[in-house]
Amino acid sequence: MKEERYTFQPDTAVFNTVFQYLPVPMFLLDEERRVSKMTPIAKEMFDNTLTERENSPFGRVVNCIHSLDDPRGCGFSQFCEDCSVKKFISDIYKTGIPCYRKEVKLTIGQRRRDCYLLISAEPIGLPSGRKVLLHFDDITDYKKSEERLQKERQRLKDTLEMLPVYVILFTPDYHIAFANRFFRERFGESGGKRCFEYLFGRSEPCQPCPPHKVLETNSSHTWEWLGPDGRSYSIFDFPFTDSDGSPLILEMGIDITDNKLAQEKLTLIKDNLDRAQMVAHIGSWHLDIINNILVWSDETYRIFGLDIGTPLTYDKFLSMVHPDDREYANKSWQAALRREPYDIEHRIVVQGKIKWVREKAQVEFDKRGKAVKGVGTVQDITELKHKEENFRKLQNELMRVSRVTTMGELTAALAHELNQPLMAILSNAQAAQRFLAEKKPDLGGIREILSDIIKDDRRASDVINKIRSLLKRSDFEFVVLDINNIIREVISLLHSEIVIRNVSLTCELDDKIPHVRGDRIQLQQVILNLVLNSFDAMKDIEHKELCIRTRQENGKFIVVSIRDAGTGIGEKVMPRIFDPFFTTKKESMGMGLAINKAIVESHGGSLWAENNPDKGATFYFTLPIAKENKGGKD
Amino acid sequence: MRSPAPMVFIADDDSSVCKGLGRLIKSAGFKVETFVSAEEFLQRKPYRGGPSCLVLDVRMPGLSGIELQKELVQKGVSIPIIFITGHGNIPMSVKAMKDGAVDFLPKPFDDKELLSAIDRAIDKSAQLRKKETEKAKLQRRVNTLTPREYECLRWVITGMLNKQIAHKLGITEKTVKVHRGRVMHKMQAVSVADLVRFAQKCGITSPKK
Repeated sequence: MKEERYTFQPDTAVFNTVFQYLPVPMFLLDEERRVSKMTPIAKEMFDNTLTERENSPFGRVVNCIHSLDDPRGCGFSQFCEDCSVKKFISDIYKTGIPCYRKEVKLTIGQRRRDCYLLISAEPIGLPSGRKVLLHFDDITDYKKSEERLQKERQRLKDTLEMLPVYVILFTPDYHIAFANRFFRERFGESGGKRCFEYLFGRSEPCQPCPPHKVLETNSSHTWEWLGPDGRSYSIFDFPFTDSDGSPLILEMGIDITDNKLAQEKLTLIKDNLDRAQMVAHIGSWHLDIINNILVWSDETYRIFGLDIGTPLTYDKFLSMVHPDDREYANKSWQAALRREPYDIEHRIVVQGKIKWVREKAQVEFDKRGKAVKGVGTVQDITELKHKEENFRKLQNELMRVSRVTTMGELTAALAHELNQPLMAILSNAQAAQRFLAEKKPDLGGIREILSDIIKDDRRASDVINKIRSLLKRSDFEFVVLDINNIIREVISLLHSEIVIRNVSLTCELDDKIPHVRGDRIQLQQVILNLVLNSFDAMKDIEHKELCIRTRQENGKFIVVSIRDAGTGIGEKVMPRIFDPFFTTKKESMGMGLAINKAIVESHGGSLWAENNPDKGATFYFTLPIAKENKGGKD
Repeated sequence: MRSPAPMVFIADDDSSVCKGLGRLIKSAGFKVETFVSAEEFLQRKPYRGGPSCLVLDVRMPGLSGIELQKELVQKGVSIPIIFITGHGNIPMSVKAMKDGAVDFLPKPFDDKELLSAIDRAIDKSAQLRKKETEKAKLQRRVNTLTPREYECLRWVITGMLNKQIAHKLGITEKTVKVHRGRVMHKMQAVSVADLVRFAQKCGITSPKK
């Protein structure tokens, strides 16, 4: 057959014509790869400006860069040794065996464009001698896109390999068609084993097999898997089709072990917080001010007696506040939105019952100063309030008792105080009777007597009123008052005692002293008790000097000092004098100073004692200056 | 008998009590003087106008009633005292009575209580005055005795015989007899019993044997 081809003798004219019209790129090459003929399409393809194409070296015709570089033409450059085109053609001349669709790469033109060609060559005998008919397809574009696709695929694969989650492809018969690096690193290579075999070492598939669900429903689903490595995975299964159309399962697994632990930790923390809140009766809340969404902790729900999860808004909260406190609570909150501190106590109504709560909150503001959210606590202080109330009642009672006790100590003085006017009245009245018994009664004298009687009667009732006001059982009433007046009242009550005991009293009362807020009777009692104490301290002293002084200090407090010239307070006794039931006197209960201290402290002041440098002791107490210092009733 | 009217002094630190009591006592026919402190009373010159008494408040600034009583006893002023008090107690009243108070009245008291107490006090005052007058008379007689005669008197009232007295004094029995006679004469005593009574009234004591 080979022979036939070389002996074939076509009509040259016909051959030339046919060659001219062949609609494919073809070259007719001689043994030296000189182009004897080429089809017009071949000319077009290489778009060569070379004028003498016929018999030009093939390399030059197709613009092979190596031929262009070498003036001797095709096949002489150092690169040409490996040239596949050269090899095919010389092989055909040697063996006479044609070759088909061999891929060769040529670098063409000054711009060194890589050009992929699919070459088929056929030896033919022509009258002009043996020739090789070379046909080629330019597959450069195809090759290039193939390369791109390959790269694309590689990138995709790399991405899959890099993913910090596992991605695998399952076949319906439990084989793993693809596993990314994450999966391989975690579970090793499958080595052709089925999943249950190599993951769990089982001989039968798991029942049920969650990924298989995808095949049944043909829709994706998620589930959680405890892998053989002891870690938890969140799994996503999707239906997938292989390139050949057969069904596959695409599975993605995310390691959620750390998340789960964190979640558990968080749950534990929340649990602990809930429990702590329950024990402490303190709930917490969070208000998204912009969207008016209020979030409560479980304990807050319990405090408010609502089912956990009930949707909330600020207004819902406000509706549960006791009607009398609602305005106060709302005002305080509005103030908090203007950056004022929020720490209030108010009542709430829970299923018809009144509860007391203490609320504290912080408001957060954005950069423009707009209130964004509030975070706060709410404490159930109902029990505390009840205790406080009971304590207050007890304290009131105790103070009343102590007042009575103090009064007992005063009885002698008061009896004298009361007996004097009574005596005067009695003797005047009896004198008047005698006047009337005269034959000519001295009416002028009787008139005088009667006016004296009235005067003394008033004096007696004054004394009684003072005692009554001291003994009066009443809840304490805080009013704005002048401490100097209170001191003067006490002094007037003690007047005869001061005189009889031979005490020389000096009062240095600051006329401009600001008013204080307090309970008149309680403050009277404190001063009365301190003065009586000073009398006791000076019982055996010859020169009994007492000085009561008032002054104000740094615009915040007033200071009252009661200074005696008595025996002073012993060093060992000093730290204990304010202790309840501590006394150095036989007839005393030892409650006086303790109660005084309680009273002064309940007024926001403090009470203390100091020994004077020369002799005796001084008791001081302070009271805060009343805010509304003008126009207060006194 | 009561002319001039007896004097009642009132000392109470409360001026309206003074005034009221003063009116009452005055209406019962006594002369009255009031004092608002013990000191003020002490400053008054001794009263010689007849029987008198003192209505005295126990508790007063400065010198108290009780202290005034003590002071008066020390000074030898013997004026009956009626204590009045706003809140007297028993121990205090017992003490006051022992020290010679006539009465102890808790305030307020009735006019009858007060006036009868005053009556008693004035009687006592009159008696005291009588005693004092007598004593003064006897004292004047004692004052006329020579020291030797006085010495003799002190022995005579012991009931000793002349001979024994002579021995004690280291003089003769005859001289004793002369002294004794002069003493009896000067003292206007009729008997030794008289002499003993007078000596007692004047507070003359017998020497130690």
